[in-house]
Amino acid sequence: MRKRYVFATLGALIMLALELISMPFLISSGGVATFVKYVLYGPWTLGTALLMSAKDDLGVLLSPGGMSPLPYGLTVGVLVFNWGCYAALGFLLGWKLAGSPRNSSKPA
Amino acid sequence: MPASLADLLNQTLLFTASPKPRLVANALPIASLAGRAKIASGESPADRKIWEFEQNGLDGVRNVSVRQRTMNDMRMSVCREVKWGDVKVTYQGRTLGLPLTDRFLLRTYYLPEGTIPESNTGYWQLPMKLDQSFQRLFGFQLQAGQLQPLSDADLQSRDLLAAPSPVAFNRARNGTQQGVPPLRVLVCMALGCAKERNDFEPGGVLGAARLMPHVMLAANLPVESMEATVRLAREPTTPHTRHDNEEMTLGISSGFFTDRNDTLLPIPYWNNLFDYYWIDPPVGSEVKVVRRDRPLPRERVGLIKEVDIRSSRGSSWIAGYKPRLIKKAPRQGEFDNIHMAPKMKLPASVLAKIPSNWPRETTMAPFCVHDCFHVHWRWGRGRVAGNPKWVRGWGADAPYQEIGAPMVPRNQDVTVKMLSACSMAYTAKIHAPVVGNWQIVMHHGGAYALSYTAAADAMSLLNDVLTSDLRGEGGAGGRWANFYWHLRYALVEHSLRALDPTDKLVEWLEVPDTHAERLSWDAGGFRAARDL
Repeated sequence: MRKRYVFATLGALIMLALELISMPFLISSGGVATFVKYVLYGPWTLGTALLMSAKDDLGVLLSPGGMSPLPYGLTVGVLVFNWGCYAALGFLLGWKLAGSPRNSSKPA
Repeated sequence: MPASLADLLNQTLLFTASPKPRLVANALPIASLAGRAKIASGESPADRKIWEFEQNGLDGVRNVSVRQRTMNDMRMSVCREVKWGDVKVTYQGRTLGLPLTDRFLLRTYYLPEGTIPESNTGYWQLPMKLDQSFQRLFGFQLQAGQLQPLSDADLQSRDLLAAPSPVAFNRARNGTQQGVPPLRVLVCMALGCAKERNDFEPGGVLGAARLMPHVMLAANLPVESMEATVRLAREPTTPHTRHDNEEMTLGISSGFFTDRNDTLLPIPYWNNLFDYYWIDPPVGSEVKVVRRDRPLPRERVGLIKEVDIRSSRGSSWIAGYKPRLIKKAPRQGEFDNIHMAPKMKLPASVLAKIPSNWPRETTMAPFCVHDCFHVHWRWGRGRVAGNPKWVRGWGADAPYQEIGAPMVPRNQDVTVKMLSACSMAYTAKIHAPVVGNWQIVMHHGGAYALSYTAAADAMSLLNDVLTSDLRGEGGAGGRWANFYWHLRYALVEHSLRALDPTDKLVEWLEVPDTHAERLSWDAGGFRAARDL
């Protein structure tokens, strides 16, 4: 069981590291940037697009944060949610990679 | 080759738009946005009219401003004055000044609003929605050694700027007058004001309103060279020194930057994005920004140095500077862009605790979040990051063709001269222009930043997570100042702060934190890097 937790935690940390390293591509363009935006930052891209659509098309009142069209707190919230999603994904992958408890508990 | 007035006009910015501009009297029917309702929900920023200006003689405008939607539609001054002039043509060894005066004015066109479709041909290929814009057409003819205005009959001729016969062409080039038609020159000075779009810088982070003051020139004979100048002056002070918990300096100042070529990751640290820069260039400084005498790529090591931060066992220190490589693209000059904006100040609570010799304010770059007007005539070549069409330079005879090339036609040398801390003169010298073809000066224009995407906020958040050392009391203010400060400077906290995050221990042991500019150079290295 301990091995599974170690692998799961490692998985989550690796995913978070990948998220941080690829983050500058959010302010970039091109093929790699598109990959980062839609694959590594999918929830973020979808979340901010939905919020922008709610603001511009549906007239939902979202006060701008400085020159950003979205409030800073909301932006941070979506970003942390995105990181949480990928950390959870990494955790699950690590958990799976370490093998199921039934398999690991079987005698050799 | 276009020869008639209609052919030539159809290649101009305003005539590329739909609907076409209308012919007006010399006085422009400029619309004011005063009293307009604030931005309505559901209204797209890309459709919103934002630009206002006042006519200032035939060859200038003043009080050029935009409505800033993220600041409750506040009117923000972009340029105190824009002036077109010093148009010259050198023909058969003689330089003629072409005055933009009433005597030579042929037509004035005004466009209240228009749409330019995306295209892969022509001079104006980027999709954009034009706000109120105008252009004036001046005509000159050299007769008996004197400049004369073009007559209406000349103007309506199908061969207005028709290429001469090969015999006449050679005679004109060899300085002979006989059998050569009179020299005719058309000058079109234009101000294009575009609505907000995210297609100014490579990442599309900024919602920018393009301002495109430019000059187009065409001659019917082989002239040696042409020249034109566009002067841009901002107000010396910003009307708005506080914005969104950030504090700006009152004065607007300038900074030249040289983009780095072949960057791997788009990390916005200055040592990653820039080769070198010149903050607050003195008045009178003149820089060669596009150079025909540098037709090949160049590179040198050691002119510029980069901060060397080393880490071991959880602690970091600044070990000095290490030399780095500068690569320049063909025709790239001393600098690639100029930013004219107030500086951002660190919060007072931070200033109280940092040593007095530390930088207390910082320039907003690579993108700026408040009251910034910038002109880019070249963008750095990204290796992994994208190089979208709008940052590509001129190819053989069309814009938006070559990655990393200047956004200036290949037969031009461009210089920029600082007229004050916040005004500049942009002068292009055009060599051996093709007969009958428009030569465009300042085709790239400039832009005023109106908004940024949430991704920019995300980057500042990341910086906050990594470095909260220069945030204001309670973390409320100085987020962007902290961000910009760290882009330019490297800060290394003393490892004792791991034991005691307050100032007590480091002050008692006199082991302060250290900081360093991310890039460094000496006077000789800077001169050589600019001249490379």
